Amino acid sequence: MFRKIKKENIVKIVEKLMKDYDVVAPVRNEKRFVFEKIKNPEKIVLDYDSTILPPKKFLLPSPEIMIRFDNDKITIPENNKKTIFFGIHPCDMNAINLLDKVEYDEYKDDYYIKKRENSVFVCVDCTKANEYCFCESMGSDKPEGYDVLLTDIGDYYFVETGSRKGEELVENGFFENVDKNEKIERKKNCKRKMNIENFDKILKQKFDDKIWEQLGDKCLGCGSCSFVCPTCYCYSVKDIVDLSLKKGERRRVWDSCLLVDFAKVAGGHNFREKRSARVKQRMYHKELYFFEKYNYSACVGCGRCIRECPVGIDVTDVISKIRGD
Amino acid sequence: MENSYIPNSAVINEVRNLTYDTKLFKLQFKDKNIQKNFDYKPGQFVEIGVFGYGEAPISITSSPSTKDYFELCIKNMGNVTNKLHQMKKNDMVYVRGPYGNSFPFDEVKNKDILFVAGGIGLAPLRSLINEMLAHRNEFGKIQALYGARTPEDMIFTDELEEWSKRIKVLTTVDKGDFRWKGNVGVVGTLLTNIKAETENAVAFVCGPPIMIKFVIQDIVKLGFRDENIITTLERKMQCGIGKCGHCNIGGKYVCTDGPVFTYKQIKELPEALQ
Ligand SMILES: Cc1cc2nc3c(=O)[nH]c(=O)nc-3n(C[C@H](O)[C@H](O)[C@H](O)COP(=O)(O)OP(=O)(O)OC[C@H]3O[C@@H](n4cnc5c(N)ncnc54)[C@H](O)[C@@H]3O)c2cc1C
Ligand code: FES
Repeated sequence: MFRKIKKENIVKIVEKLMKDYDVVAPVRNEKRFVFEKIKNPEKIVLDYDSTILPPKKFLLPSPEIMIRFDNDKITIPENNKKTIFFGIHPCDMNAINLLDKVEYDEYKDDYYIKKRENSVFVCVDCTKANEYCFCESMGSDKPEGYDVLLTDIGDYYFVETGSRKGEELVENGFFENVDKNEKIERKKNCKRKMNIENFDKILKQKFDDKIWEQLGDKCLGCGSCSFVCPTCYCYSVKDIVDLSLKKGERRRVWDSCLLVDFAKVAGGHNFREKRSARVKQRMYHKELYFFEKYNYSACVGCGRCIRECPVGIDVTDVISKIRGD
Repeated sequence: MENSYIPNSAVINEVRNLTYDTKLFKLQFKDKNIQKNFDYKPGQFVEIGVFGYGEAPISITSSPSTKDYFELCIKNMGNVTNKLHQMKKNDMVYVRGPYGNSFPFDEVKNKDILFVAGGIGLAPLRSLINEMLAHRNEFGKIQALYGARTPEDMIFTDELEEWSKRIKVLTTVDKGDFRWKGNVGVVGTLLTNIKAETENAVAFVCGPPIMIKFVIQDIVKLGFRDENIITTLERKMQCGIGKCGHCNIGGKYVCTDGPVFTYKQIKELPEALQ
């Protein structure tokens, strides 16, 4: 048995879901798109290209309050509100699958996991590759890990489910049962390509390559690429106190290995003083260390880093230079 | 599920000045059960924090045979450590851990042991030295070399004295003063004063990055094999549990895969010795 939903019913189903869930979905923001907690479902745009920030802004928010303290009393902020991510693309879903590997590793990140497990992911297959993205080259155009998957088939979205949570979500009148598989397989639509084959092995030989100096000269060390990256998870911790010095919060905020003091320790020694070392670290972490540990590249090809880099550093270009293509 | 970031409160039982900038804290978890079950191995560290100031990774310097308390030796280096230095007996701190891997212990039984420590690097080794001395007859010849910047910077001088009754202990300072009658020179120079069997022997090296780099080279020259040279790496840490990314080098997180590494492993790790 298969299901589909009429496009005009999307607003109605979201209205219904909003009774029990926070609904996060893409909406227009001037010329771009952003994920937002929806107040008015009419504003949802499902045929968007890419959002400025990835869904991590909800799953790993910055700042995130970890602990509240008041003299010797400590409390952990609780938020048990269920969230539906409505209309996230396969690249972003795959990025969440990668974040899972880190946050569910040996030690568990309770904050992430609570939110993740209170979430339902309704993916929408992407029809609007922009000039930056290259998910097909990374294999992350294939939707995986979703609860519900919507595929545009004209006046309808074809509906597939990937979990019990997903099954429960589509058991209502807005979703019509159909007998045959009406899914139209998406045509490859990325304009940008990148060859990632064996890149881990290539990188192993390139640690002392002159390209890192060249990139270091160009890079501003601003960290924008990390902040917009759907899989960059590094953070810093900061205690914030009120004037009594007794009451306050321990917070974490996004950090980036490109920022100058990321590896700087007390006393002033900086293990990655040079920008070239920091640019290199980001590449190696994504394409070698993460790969060695989890068997996946930590890049899903969403193209956000290319779009946001103020000096036009383009990861596909860098990788092809390193390969010598 | 337990939240890995929530520390347990611990009471400061005693604070002892070791030098002008380094203090020894004797701590005890407030909850007796937590204290009883606090099992750690030499080489492991904790995250010690004070709300309002933050947390810092600090090696446990007591040996696991002390059951009712644990000790941290802390040098005043910045925000958290400075706050800790102002705290007194009966004040409360917050501790999570133990974290990280540990020094090999059973694996090095019956071998000769060489310790080389520089500065605050003696703190993690002290845990191991005392543990080995508690099992003295299970190890071969034990020798300890310790170097500090000046005589005023030497930590655990009383214990160095005690140890020297049972094992060979040599100390040195980079720069002496009018009272200092001992060796002068970086700790590596002490290596020329000892006889070290290198075949069935293991060397433990702890100290600031630059000291580790040079001492390891000297020890390799003595004939120690790469896998028998054991050291700890220091990196910025914000979580201690493999999440914040700060301590990443090569495919490793120093906090969970380390801080203890063999020289053999380190040679494979880019950026390790900097
Ligand atoms: C595994 C390990 C064991 C250590 N053991 C000891 C010990 O036994 N005794 C001791 O005196 N020091 C030890 N250090 C160094 C100690 O962690 C730093 O001196 C301390 O974090 C400085 O914190 P701060 O807040 O006072 O300084 P700030 O400069 O204010 O640092 C702010 C924060 O940055 C991080 N940070 C800064 N410097 C370091 C650093 N060197 N290493 C790791 N994180 C850092 C910490 O999270 C710290 O809270 C150890 C470091 C590591 C990694
Ligand atoms: S200290 Fe955070 S990952 Fe190691």
